[in-house]
Amino acid sequence: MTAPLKSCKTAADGLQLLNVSKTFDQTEVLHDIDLTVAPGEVLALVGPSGAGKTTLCRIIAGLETPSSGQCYMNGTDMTAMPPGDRRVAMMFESYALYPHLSVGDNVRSPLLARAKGGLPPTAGQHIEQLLAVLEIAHLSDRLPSELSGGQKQRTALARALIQNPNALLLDEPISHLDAKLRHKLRGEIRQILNARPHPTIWSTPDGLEGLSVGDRIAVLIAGRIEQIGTPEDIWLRPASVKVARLFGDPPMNILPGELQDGQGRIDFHCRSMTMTLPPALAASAKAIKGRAAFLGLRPNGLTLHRGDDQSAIATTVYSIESFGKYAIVTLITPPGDLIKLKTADVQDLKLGDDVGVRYASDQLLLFDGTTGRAAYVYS
Amino acid sequence: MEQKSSIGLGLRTAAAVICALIVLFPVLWMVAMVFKPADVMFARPTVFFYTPTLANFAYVIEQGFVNNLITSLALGIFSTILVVIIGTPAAYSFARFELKAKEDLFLFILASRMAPPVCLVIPFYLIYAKVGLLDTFVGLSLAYMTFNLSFYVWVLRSFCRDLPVELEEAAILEGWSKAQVFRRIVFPLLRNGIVATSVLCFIFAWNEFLFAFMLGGDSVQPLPVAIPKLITAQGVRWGEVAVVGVVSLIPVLAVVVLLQRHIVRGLTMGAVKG
Amino acid sequence: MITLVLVSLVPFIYAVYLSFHQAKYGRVTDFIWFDNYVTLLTSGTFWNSMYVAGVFVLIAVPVEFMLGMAGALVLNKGVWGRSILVPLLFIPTMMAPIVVGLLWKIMLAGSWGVLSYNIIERFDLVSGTSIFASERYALLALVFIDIWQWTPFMMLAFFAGLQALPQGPYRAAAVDGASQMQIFARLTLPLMAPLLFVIGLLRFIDAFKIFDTIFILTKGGPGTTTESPSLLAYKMTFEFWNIGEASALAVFVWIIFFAVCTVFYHIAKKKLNAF
Repeated sequence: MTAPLKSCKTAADGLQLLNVSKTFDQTEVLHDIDLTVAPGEVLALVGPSGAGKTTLCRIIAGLETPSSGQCYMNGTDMTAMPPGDRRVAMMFESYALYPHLSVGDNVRSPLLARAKGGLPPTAGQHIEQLLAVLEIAHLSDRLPSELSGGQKQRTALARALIQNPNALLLDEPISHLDAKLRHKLRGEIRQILNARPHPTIWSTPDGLEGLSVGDRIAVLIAGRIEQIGTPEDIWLRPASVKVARLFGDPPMNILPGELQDGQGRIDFHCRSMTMTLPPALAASAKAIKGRAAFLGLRPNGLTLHRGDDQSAIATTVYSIESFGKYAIVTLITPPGDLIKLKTADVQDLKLGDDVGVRYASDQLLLFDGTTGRAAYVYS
Repeated sequence: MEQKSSIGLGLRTAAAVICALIVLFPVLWMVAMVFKPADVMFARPTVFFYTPTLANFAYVIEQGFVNNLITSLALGIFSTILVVIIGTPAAYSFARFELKAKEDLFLFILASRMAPPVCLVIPFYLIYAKVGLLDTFVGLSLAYMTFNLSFYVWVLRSFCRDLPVELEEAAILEGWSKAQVFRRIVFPLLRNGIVATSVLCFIFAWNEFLFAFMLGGDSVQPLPVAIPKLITAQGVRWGEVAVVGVVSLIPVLAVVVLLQRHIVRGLTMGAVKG
Repeated sequence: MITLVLVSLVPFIYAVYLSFHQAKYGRVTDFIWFDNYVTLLTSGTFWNSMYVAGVFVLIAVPVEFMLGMAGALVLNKGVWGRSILVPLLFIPTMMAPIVVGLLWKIMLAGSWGVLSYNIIERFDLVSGTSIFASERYALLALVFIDIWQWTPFMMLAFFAGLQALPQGPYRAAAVDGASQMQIFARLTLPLMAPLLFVIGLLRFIDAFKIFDTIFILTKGGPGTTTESPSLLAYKMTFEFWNIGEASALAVFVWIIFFAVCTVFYHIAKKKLNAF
């Protein structure tokens, strides 16, 4: 017995997309997407709004047909399968709760749809348990219009989870809640998903949310997957400038410039400013064929330095946003580029002060100036 | 400040009430005429106070107007039910599905709604004369559909558009069939729109004159067409005319009270969401 | 869907068919190309009916517009007992046109009508027996009745539109110290433009095709002073049995409406995002 040919391309378990593209009216919204999500895994789909996250979810659910490419579920091609047969649960960004049905009836609806000849006797108990876990058991008789944003979110989640789906799609599940609730819920939901056997896709425009909830992260920008990797990969080794800009609070500082060979060292020229690259980056710099480059400086790899120091970048304080325990300081370089950094020490810092910025050499990243791709040389 | 604004409110209220009285005076006068005895009807100068009488009602009933009333009701209800049955799925598909030449088709429907009824009544008359639908209940109901169906579809489409598509998609993903989605989700949420629009259709059918006048006749004679019966050799029976007018106002009043929010939306073809 | 098309298409096609034929007294005979149209467009009665409709529309609609807007602004500023007033104002709009006709026949009847006796006759405004028999005033009386019937509707439609306006720009304008007139001209009118447009179009078309009220009040008379296109088509068909020419008139009016609708629809869609 030989295994079917397809299986060498197709994962036996979980959800897989192969070469999926989607074009609306001659505009390509998704380009050649390859993606695998293993059973029990949570894949965070991170991308700015308009990147195609929702379209991707809708293709997996079967609400849109891909212009080309296939979707597989546990090894079976489901590209042409009608949405109702896929058993893919999707939580819509708008929650899409049925306004005329109570919370309990909303959650009961998917069970009723699939139950032939009445609900099993355990169904009621099952729903109650789930509602209790999500802390909305007392709201069972309310209509969606009588719920707060967080309660609606939980109801929509309950309606998705009750289905025991083959795959769960959460389209920006917590984006419309306030910051405090977002922090609380992302931990809670992740906790619930830990015990779930199905693959989950969690889409979000917020890089940090993606890092905190995803086992792996897929970065989708302008319809293309820029990078897939573990949170550590994405954080430490972003594949491109675009990815680097999405993560971090504040996001990574990116300076455009040019590389020049000096005596035994490589200089980075950013307009009128020159920095000498640390030896660790020299090998990476050689990989950049053109001379144009982007230098990425992580805000938390930068420190303020007052007084004279040749190795520091000379800057002026442009703005200070204080958050109590720490502050985000924006500095302006002589040629006019802005650099943000996070620091706890702002006590006698004033606007217009001249300060130096030191950088930890392991917190610098170098990108190809023409392609935007990262230049890494692993030692 | 407080005082100034309350004076303004008072002035505006007074102006509004006076305008309303001017607007409603003819209607009230007609209502009063219902109970006016024949001998003071034509009095000069006008008699404002008199002993009310029910004589006008008696004559109207004697003339068999109850039959006309029933015909009117039945025609309105039957043609409206037809419109709802055919128009609801049509409005829904107009709102939801991409159809070829949808826009043009839609404009045509709109234009047919816009066309003077006289334009329609001529072909209808000739076609009906050929196929024997003149002076039949079914024939008149079908003719009412020309203006009511397009109206209904147009207005209900605007209600359909207010429904988020995602509700239906969510239901489809749960495993409901298309028909079940329509019955469980779309229909309950559209119900208010359907009721409001179909009641307006009923009123249009109820108020209709030209079609009923030309395509109806002896056996199918709704209320507005029956009025000429009151123009007798002895002159016009104005008291009785007033009775018929007032009776024909009753459903209108009911609609005005129950559906005021939806009337504007209906009569502006969905352009204003009440 | 098919029924929908059938119901609106069949009568139209049949009317077009008739308009190209010699059709009199219920007998359809020869195919005569555009002869019916030529006869129609060269006849005085046709242009008279267009003139009647023109006068009617051009007086009634603007007056209704302005009175309606004024009333809506007053209502919107706040009136005590608005929830009672508003439904009452719907009554004329929802009345059967035929009943409206009867109503005004009663009000303005020859010698005993409450208005004709107490106002018109007392102040000697119109000589003769009835205003509807006056060549000078019959059309104006019909215009007045149309204004009576439709101004309250305009008022309520505009009022609904005003109520639906966003509050934000108004607060901003108040902060900027804009005057009432400026707010109205720069903010209210542009924001209401799509609505004004749609209502204007609908009223224009409705007024143009008026039939019932004229039919019961004047039957187009005296002479042809109030003979609207609808009434002319009716007379051609059911009094002179000249069906071919009547169909030509019907098709002609229909085409005008279709053209107007199409143009307006596209403008409205592009410029104003209406519909």
